[in-house]
Amino acid sequence: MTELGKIKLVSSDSQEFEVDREVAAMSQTIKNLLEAIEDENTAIPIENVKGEILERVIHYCEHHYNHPSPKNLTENENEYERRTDDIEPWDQTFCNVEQPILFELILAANYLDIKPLLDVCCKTVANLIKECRSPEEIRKRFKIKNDFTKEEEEEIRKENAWCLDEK
Amino acid sequence: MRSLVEHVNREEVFSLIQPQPQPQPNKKKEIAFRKTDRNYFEYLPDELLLNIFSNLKPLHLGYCFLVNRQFSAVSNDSSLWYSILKKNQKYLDFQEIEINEFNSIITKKKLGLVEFFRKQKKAKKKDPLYNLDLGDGLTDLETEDHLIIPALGDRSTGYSLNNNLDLRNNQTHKKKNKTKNKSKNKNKNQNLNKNNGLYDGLFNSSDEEDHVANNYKEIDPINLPYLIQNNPRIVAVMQLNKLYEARELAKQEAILKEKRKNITTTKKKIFNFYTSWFFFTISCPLTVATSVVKLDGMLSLKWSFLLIPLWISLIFLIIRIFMSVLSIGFREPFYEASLIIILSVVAILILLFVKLDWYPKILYLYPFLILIFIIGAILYYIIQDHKERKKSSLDLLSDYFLLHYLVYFYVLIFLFAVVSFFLLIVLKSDLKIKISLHQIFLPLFIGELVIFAVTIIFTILKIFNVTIPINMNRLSWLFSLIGLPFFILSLLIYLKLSKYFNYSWFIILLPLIIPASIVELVFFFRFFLRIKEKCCINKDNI
Repeated sequence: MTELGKIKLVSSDSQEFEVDREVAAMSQTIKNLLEAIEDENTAIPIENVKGEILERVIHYCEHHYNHPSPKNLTENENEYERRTDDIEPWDQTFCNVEQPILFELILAANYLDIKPLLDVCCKTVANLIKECRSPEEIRKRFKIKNDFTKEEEEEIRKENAWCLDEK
Repeated sequence: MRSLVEHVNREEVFSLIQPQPQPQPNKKKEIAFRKTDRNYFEYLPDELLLNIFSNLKPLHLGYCFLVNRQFSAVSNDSSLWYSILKKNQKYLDFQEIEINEFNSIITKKKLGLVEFFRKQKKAKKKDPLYNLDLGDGLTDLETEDHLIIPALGDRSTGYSLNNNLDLRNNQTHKKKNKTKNKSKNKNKNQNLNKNNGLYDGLFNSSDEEDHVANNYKEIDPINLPYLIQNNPRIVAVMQLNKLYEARELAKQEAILKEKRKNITTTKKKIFNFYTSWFFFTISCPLTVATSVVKLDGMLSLKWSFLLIPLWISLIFLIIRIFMSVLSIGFREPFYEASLIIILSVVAILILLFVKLDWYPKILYLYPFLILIFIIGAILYYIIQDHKERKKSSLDLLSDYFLLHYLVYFYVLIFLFAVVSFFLLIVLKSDLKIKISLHQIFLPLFIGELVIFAVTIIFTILKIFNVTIPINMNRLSWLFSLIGLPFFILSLLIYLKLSKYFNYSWFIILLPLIIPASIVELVFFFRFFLRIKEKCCINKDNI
């Protein structure tokens, strides 16, 4: 039996987490599921998310449920003005994790449909990219393999001369 | 919905007042299978990658295009570049690209975009988009109000955010294009565009599964200009390349300007240096010649008038040094130090000629002159040391006396010899003390021989790679070597004065004249060599 107003989430590796119903409802996916399920005591399986990641996601949701950010309340962002330097300090610390966790968080946020978490994680990755000063640096940082053929790369580099001069 | 009463409970009020808790780092051990050398972007679907890229500015989006196929495909997405163009529409102009011109140049000459714009740049010599720093996301451009170019306009409605191509639009353009270019052979165009690796690079760079890339492949090459028009990335990149080209040109111009400036300043420097010494090299032989003529009794001018060329060159040198000091300040130790030396030399000469010409009975002048010279020399060393080593005066003094006087001991012997020589002359001429000529000349001979011998020893040591305690550069070596001709000179003067032989002063001064003329020749040779060398460099640079 779960406490009143709480629901049980089960991760892919069968870890169980008890969460406030309204905290869990920050995830659009869970919210839709809750609306579909009548029995409140049913544990909700989160198939695509591991326990470790789910724990972090719940931690994020709990924090933001208790500390709603003022920015979300007055949202009138320009469609074309996306900023990456406006991540809150708490979120910055939250996202300051190793790459695998960060990427799993992105996947989890996407699966659970938690837009603020997804945005914050994407911005963090974007900031990591922004720290790089060349395509090579991006490859090195994210262990990306260059799968262009030599000719292709040469052509693309020729075409993108404008951005290759920044040193 | 929670009611207000529910919402405002004690704990929450406290939590609002208290600082926000920081998330605790997870202390659980990392799961072993999680490898850190993996590209995690591979696991992200394209829409998530797109979300990440939507936070990037043009520069980094440009980098991403070059990373790998996945990045290239996603960073080619219209929505990204559309928003960049929209945001920077003042500067990135859709309409400026003259499609027909572009088409004809590309297809006829198989030029890439960069070459195309290089051509264009040559046509338009000055571009207003000059001096721009694209840096991070074109933000710097926004201050340049005069760069506003009418852009986008109604055409912006023709862009679809989610598809790279507005195919229907393309169809209409296709028809128009066909009527316009009836004379053009379609197949020929197709081949030419295939040959143009630029497009291959662009369109093959994405995965085969990627619908965007497939769309491109299906497009008739004739419509490439319209395709370009409808792909915001290509439009943006074309514009950015254009800006880049303009900026590169500006950079090159700035470098050239700087080079030219440097060349003129170095030319000026060389000219200044050589002109001041030029006066000296002209005036010194003139002075020697006139002195010889006077000494041989063929001229009865006063000494001070006889030496007018020397005065002129000295005045010129002093003015030049003053000018340099005024323009660049006392930054270079050379000026200050040499100023002191030159001033002391001038003082010595004035006093000397006053005695020789008008007041032959001034007493103790020679030692006084030597004193002036020694003070000047000491000041010269102190200033040069101080400027070069930037030490406190106390350190400097101890260092100076301990090191320099020890190392330059032989110079000191020479100075002592000169002083005693003049002192003995004074004693003989002014006080009428009975002293023979060889007694007067002996210390001078010793001093000159010592300085020559030490130089020779140092030179031999240097040849055998033995470290010597002083820095023997070419100049100091030359000056030290002068000991030998001076010894011969003073010997001849001694012989003449003691009436052992009666040659003219010209022959007696030959030991001075010969090395002086050699030095002068070398100097002129170097001067012309330097000027020639500089001119060659100038030509190469420009």
